Amino acid sequence: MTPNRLIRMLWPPVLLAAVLIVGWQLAAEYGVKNPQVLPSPSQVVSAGWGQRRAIAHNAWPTLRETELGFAFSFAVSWILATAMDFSPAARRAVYPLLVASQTVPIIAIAPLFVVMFGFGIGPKILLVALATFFPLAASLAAGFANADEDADRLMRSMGASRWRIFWTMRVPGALPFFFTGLRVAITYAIGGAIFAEYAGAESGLGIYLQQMQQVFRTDLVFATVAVIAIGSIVLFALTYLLERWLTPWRRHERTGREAAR
Amino acid sequence: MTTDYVLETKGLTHEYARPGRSPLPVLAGLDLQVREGEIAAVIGPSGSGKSTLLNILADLDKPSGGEVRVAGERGVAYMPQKDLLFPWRTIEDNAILGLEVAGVKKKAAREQVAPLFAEFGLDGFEYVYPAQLSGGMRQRAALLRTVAMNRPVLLLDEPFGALDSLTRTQMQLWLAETWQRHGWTIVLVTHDIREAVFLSDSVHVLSPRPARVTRRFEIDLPRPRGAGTFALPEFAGLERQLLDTLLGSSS
Amino acid sequence: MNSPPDSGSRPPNLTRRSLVALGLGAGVTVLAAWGGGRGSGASNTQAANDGVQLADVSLALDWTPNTNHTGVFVAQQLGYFAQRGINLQIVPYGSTAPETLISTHKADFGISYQDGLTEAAVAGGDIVSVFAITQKTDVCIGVRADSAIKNPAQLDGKVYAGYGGPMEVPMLQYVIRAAGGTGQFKDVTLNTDAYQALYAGQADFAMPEPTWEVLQAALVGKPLRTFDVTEYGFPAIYSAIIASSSHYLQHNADVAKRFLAAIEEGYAYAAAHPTEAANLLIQANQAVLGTQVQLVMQSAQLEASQYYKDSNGQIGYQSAARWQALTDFMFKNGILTDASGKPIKAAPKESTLFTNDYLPASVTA
Repeated sequence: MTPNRLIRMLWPPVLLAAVLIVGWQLAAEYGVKNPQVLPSPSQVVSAGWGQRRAIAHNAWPTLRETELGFAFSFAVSWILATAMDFSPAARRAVYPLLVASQTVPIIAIAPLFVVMFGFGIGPKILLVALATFFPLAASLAAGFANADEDADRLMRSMGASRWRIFWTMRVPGALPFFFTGLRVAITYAIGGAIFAEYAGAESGLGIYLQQMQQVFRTDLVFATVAVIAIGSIVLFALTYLLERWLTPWRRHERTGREAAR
Repeated sequence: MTTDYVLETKGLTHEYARPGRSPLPVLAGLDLQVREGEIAAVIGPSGSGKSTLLNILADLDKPSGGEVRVAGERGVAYMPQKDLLFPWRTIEDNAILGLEVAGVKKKAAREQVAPLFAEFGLDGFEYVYPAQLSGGMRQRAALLRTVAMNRPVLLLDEPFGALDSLTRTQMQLWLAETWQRHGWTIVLVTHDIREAVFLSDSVHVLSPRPARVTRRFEIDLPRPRGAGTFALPEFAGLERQLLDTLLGSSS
Repeated sequence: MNSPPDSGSRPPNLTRRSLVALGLGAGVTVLAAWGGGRGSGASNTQAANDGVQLADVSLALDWTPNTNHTGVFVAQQLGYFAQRGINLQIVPYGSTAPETLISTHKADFGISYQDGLTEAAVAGGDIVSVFAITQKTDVCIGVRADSAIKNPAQLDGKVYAGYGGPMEVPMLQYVIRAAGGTGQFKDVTLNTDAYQALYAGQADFAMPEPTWEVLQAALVGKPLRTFDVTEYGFPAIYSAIIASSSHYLQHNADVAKRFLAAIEEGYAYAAAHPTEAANLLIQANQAVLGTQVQLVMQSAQLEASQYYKDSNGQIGYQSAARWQALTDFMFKNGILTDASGKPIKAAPKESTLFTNDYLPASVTA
């Protein structure tokens, strides 16, 4: 990507964010005038910077839970989607559960997980996995199912085994679907970890949020929320970079289509 | 069976089971003989069981009865109607797909296909993705992938069916010229009479379902064939005969 | 179209790239799984007590660390637990109630409050109070200091911002009626800083803690006028207690006694040296309380002078009469329900709800 294109892509969101922040600052300074209800962005930034060590200390466990939960979810979704691709019976058995897993309200079962599994990182990993599992597995299964029947015949005529066809054709073909699911899932991941911490943890941004609320530091609540938001955006951007890196052919598909018009 | 033929079917029958009804017969004693180094066209009315025949020849389906014999152990190289180039593979890597499946190492396979690119008009396009190619080039790439498998018979299913008419003619001319140099044995399934006459040495006409070969034409137009071939009086005659047979067999 | 778009060189090997990406992901995962041991978790260093095996004890907090917890953190900071062979793990508060954690034996001890423990025990929870942190009711009725409301009777028809607890409304009705009102008011559940709601005009009265919200309100220049519920004859409440389960106490009677002895010593220190104790509390919770030093100092002074010691100057002791009085009130008002949610038929025995048996001899003597 050329620097020019980068600038063209980035200026609208940056401008919008800037307008919102200026509006917020003005509203806080001249409208609400109560930092305990609505601290201004400048207060949030300076308070957050002042407590950067505490926030970093609490961000680490949250990131850790996010990472491990997401890795778990990633592994399980590949295993299940693969099983579903190989066996229609597995597909029929697993798919309803998959959908059900998505409708479970994390906030309701988080305390149950703590009661069942304790305060360790285990229940948090499970909750993050639960929050991110459906978009990953469903998109992957859809990607596998999208494979061209005729391509399958072509490879069989070449003498390819079921596994060979899976690795050579179905997996690469499912990647664009997978990345769509990955982007959705990653935005749930940190949120899942925060919810899990709300239910009980030794440290973490979820706990820190709660603590700052209880000692009346609304500015630090906002600062923590900002850190969480920035973390989510970074993870989201990472999935984009990863997608570009692993599916370079898709750029040509786009330009190819444009040229054909 | 005689050994003169590279590919031969004898009394091929096939039927599809239908729940609650009698099985649907699709092939009824189909005999096909393909000589070494010839282009044999298979032509028939639509729904005559061509795809069933293709599946059996490509070893994707077992016939209900009869025999298929292909010289050597390696079977046929199948080129489906759609180009089916994998969008995530470069043209080079698409071309070596069959070799890779056969267990040839990637590096060796690439070396093996490299000389073919110039021949197929794809010189310099080795490292581009299929989305960057025109329809005709994609079809040539698909044919390259088929040829690269290095099997005794090429089984082409309406290879130029999806192309516009000018490109199709260009491709037919190109295939006639390239074949002249290599002498591949080709089974060409088509519904295009002109194409069948122009490219092949023999044309096998299928009956409506259940299919068998109702007539075999020997096309002895002079080789090498080129744009001039279309203008030969014999060409028009053969085209006419073939059309009559097809119309007769489908009525 | 017949000239190659970019014939250059062979594009990247995507299989290799995928493996690199997977490898990186796996590496980060392993690091994350492995790196957990440090940083978080082991906040208390194992004071190697001459090779003596320390007993692990967990204590679940009921809230963000605050001055109700001072004695606990003092005891920890000054090594009172380690001296008694105890390795204390303090479990910070999450949305899971400590009563639940104790009853399900996920925590050995927890901070609770009298009415909450009573409700949990009656509903079938394995929970019993072993130590009273605050001897004085740490909840009051608060209105804006500039409000026209000068007496609880004037709360009739006003809006109450509550937390949704089952005892709030009966308690307020009792006080309002005792003050001469009818006890009719509007109840909204806010579950946020109640005094904020008062100053935002969303509610007329709330039930803040005198040792926390009331002080904070004054600090930020939005003072509250408060009414002490006991002045209107409402039974005194142990607003902060330490609870455990019969299961734990039966199997760990000795550890429980040592634990409470350390706790008692911690609160005795907090009562005698409020400033030093507050500093120790802040030191142990720098990230949380370091942001509110003034509030912590004021609160520590207030609790030291009025809350930790009972009328006999004792710490931790619980009176049967007080347990009886509040339990009776709750039973009569239908607040107590069994595990299936039905009101219970007979008043619970207060002797099953608390015990002084694990307090140090100096207190019970």
